[in-house]
Amino acid sequence: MHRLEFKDVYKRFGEKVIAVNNANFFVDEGEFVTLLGPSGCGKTTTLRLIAGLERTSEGEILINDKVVNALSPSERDVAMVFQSYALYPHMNVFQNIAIPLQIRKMAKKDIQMRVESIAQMLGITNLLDRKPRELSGGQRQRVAIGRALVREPNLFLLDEPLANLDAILRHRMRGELKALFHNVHGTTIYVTHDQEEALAMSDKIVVMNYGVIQQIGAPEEVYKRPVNKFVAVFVGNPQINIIEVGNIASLSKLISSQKMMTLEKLSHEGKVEIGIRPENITLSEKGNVKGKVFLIEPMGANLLVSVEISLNSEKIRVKLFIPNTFNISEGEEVPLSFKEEEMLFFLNERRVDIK
Amino acid sequence: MRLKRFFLYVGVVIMAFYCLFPIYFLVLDSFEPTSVSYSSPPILYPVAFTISNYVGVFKDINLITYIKNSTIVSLSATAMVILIGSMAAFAVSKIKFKGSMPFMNFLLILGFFPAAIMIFPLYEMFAKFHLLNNYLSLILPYTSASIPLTVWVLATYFEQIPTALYEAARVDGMSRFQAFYKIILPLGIPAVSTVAILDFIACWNEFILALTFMTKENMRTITVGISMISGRFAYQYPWGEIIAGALLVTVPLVIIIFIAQEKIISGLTAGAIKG
Repeated sequence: MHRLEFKDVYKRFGEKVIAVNNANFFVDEGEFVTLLGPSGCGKTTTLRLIAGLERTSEGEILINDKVVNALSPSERDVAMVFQSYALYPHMNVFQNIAIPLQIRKMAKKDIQMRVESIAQMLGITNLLDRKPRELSGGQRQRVAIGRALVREPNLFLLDEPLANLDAILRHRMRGELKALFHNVHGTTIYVTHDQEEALAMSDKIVVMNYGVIQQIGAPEEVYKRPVNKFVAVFVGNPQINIIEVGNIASLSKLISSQKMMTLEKLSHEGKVEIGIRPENITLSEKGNVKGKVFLIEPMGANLLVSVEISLNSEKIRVKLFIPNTFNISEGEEVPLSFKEEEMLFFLNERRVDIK
Repeated sequence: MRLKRFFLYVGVVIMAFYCLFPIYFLVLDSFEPTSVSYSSPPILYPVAFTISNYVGVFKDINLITYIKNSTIVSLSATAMVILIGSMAAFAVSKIKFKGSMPFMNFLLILGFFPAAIMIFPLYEMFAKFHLLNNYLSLILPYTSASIPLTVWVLATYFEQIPTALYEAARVDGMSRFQAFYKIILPLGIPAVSTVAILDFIACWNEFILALTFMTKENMRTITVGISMISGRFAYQYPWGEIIAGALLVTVPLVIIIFIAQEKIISGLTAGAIKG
């Protein structure tokens, strides 16, 4: 039973810095959970709290339903892959992978077998007698993963393992990593600032900002029903369009009058914003909104088109994400259609459901 | 540009001459009868040749005994300093306990005390514990005297070793001592070798405590032993024998330095601290 639970966990550094602010979440056996957020949001600190490399200021951490706060890293039986890989430079690949088993006094023959089978799984059998300095970045990463996989720990912790790889390798490793940890039925906690990675690999995403957990949910949940503006903006590439209007009435072409009335009422309670993802704005002859194209950014099979729309007195700028089969040019006036059912509405940066 | 190079070489040659000339002179005079050493102005080229100085050194004093004593004392003290100092340096640089900075500052201040100041209290103490003319009377003070510098140098070097390596070791299941012994210490060999040499040389060359605490002939260390050569000759300093003795004593040091130097350099070029 490899579960993790955080109960009311706080981590403070000194008086002023609250790195982890009231964290509550759990990870079920076999789940692949990603801690996602911008730099400095507390995700790495959270991972280090799990590993025991930092002590909690408040709250409890439970592994397999047992409180582990007082246990040192060596006693928690978790395996960690560091962002820098942290391979022991004076040992060769075989020794690097074998050492967790040697510490646990496993028999030499068994160690030999396990290390070789892990090496085969990761495709590094031919590198076993090399030292880390003789390996490429991708190879080092595999060795680091091997060192984690060779045990059968309670949890696997991965700290931005793909961050130091080039783009192509990164994309390829996403699928490989997910399959690897799935095949060993590992309960995995993965830290990244790359929301694409998180969406592609996770069973569950924990979005964090400034030490506070913003939302916990499956990728689709976090993407389609973000709980606040931060999550909506952070998750999704290309980034969501956020429209802020002074006069709700100017939105008449975009949303139903019923919605407009609700928004009008809400606008007295605070700031109202509308979010719509670039892929939910399309070019359509039936479209009732005209936009002037001022920038086209080719993105391979798609185009990111920036348009300016006049809504009564106001001008807003949005980007649309359309296939490159469309033939448009800068300066052109194009008819747009906004998918009303995919719009997200925010009051004071929290999402509200509006009928 | 060429001119700069030229002056650089000239400077280096002058420096080399300045450093090596005394050694040349000593080696020269060790093979000359002592009367040559007394000439004024000094004779800088070979005149006579004799090995009587070297023979005399072995005959007139217990060179072997003295070397044995120096070796035992220096090796023991160095071993203890490295053992204790490396563990302390590890604790300060990696475990980062509360009070590690005050501790380091305290060591720094401690290091300012010359061991010679402690002669009186040490003598009294050793006399009371019957440790005079015992190897411990030198090993213990030598160890204590070398600790501050050793801990400072090693802690500074260990700081450079990425903390992630220590953390990875802990997460992999190693206890603090295992992480020290299997990961940090092997990576710290260049610094450890360097301080070991420095400590050894300091112990080997130490005079005042050795003179005070080892009064028995068979316990004397080499520095004291050589200084005593002159005492046996009523009329003139036997420079030839003194020089021969001093050179003989330096040979083990040079050997050790050459061996350790290899370790230091190979450790540094192995570099690859980048994990």
